[in-house]
Order: sequence, then C-alpha cells, then structure tokens
Amino acid sequence: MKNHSIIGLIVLSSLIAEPAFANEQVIAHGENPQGKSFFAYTGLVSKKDAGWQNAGMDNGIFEVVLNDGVLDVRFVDASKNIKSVREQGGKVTTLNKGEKEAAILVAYPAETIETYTFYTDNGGQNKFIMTQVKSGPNALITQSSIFTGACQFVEFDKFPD
Amino acid sequence: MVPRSNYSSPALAVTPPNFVTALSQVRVLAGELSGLGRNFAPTHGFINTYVIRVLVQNLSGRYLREPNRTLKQKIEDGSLI
Repeated sequence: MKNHSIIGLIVLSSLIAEPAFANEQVIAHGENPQGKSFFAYTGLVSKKDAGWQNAGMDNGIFEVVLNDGVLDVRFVDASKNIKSVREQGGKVTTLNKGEKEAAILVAYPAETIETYTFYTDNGGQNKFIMTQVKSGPNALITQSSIFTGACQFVEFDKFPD
Repeated sequence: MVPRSNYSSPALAVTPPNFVTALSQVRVLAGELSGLGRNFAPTHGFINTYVIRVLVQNLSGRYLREPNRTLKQKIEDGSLI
C-alpha cells in the first residue's frame, strides 16, 4: 500500500507541476486532514465501531482546481487512490469568498455533501476545515466527519463568484 | 508495508500483508458493485481511515469466508450486507 501511496503522490505532484489541461489552475492545496467522524449504528457499522471516532486521511492531499472557469476538487484519500469530484459525478460550487477566507460546496446527488473552508488564521497560516455528511439508501455507512489541516497555498481571489 | 501503529484499533490487529490483501479485496468489491449498477458509498466523496477499517473488517471478511460464492449471488440474496 505504501508503494501505491508513493505513486499516487508522485502522480499528483506531476499534476501540480504540469496541469493536465492547458487552462487549468490549482487555486488551493491542502494536506493530511485529521479530525473526528461520527458513525451511525446502522448497516455495516458494528456497535463497537459506532459513535465518535478519530479519523482522517493519513498523508492525504487535495487540490481545488479551476478549469475554464469550472471548479473541481482532486484528492488522494485514505483509499490511496487519486479521485476527481466531477469524475465521480459530484458538483462543486463556491459558497463564499473574501480576502482571507473562501468556501466551496461539493454535492453528490442523494448521497454525500462536503464543504471545504479555507482561511488564513490570525497567525498568518493558511488552513482548511472540511466536512462530510454521507447518508441515504445508497450509503453503506452513514457518517459525518469534520477534519482540519494546513494548506500549502490558497489563492482566495481565484475562487469564482 | 503499512505500519501497525497506523491501525491501532485492537479489532484491526491484522498484519500488514493481510491488511493490504484485504484492502485490495475491498477495492475489487467496490469495482464489482459499481459494475453491477449499485452505488457503493466509498466511491463517492473522500474516504477516511475509519471507513477503510470498517470495510476491511466487514466486506472483505465476509467475502473471504465464502470464496465459492460469487459476489453477484451474495448481493442478490442479500447476504453481503
């Protein structure tokens, strides 16, 4: 699995260095989200696995990209695979934007909603908060998560209105 | 190899090679489920470490315990989940 992880990081890094599309811009880059998840005692989740749990994406990476004005999020998560929100059928929209804060909404119809909030804290550090709510008849695991971490960079002014 | 310390839950006291095998199996399951037209939760949105643990414990365990039955049969008769 470590090999897959390394390969994933190399490929993602190459995407950063050389955008896959001529008009693509990477406008935010976050790493190693960590936090808490709440698992409902339903479906596959056993009683001992239910409730609040420490979770995250060890060595996970995500990027917000702008391709001809269209937002997307690419990420390497705990599965160690590279994924694109839009390739998975999700929609990405800007929730708000300012000089030191921006937020986007990711929605997968009838199943999953995610938010990514980027901000510069009072110490001048770029950080992110990401949340996920996953439920519905198609979700094998009903859960909600909130993770935080550091951003390598965020270009707040590049988020579309 | 996956350091054991990354998976500290006693319920997940699997050796790294077994964990890799099990995770591969989960990926196969996810792919097969998608191929059958069923939405599989982990294919939508990001997956966190704990979800991987639950999947490895449940899906791969059930699948590997009954290697002679096809996945499609298990889905159709409801024994997979």
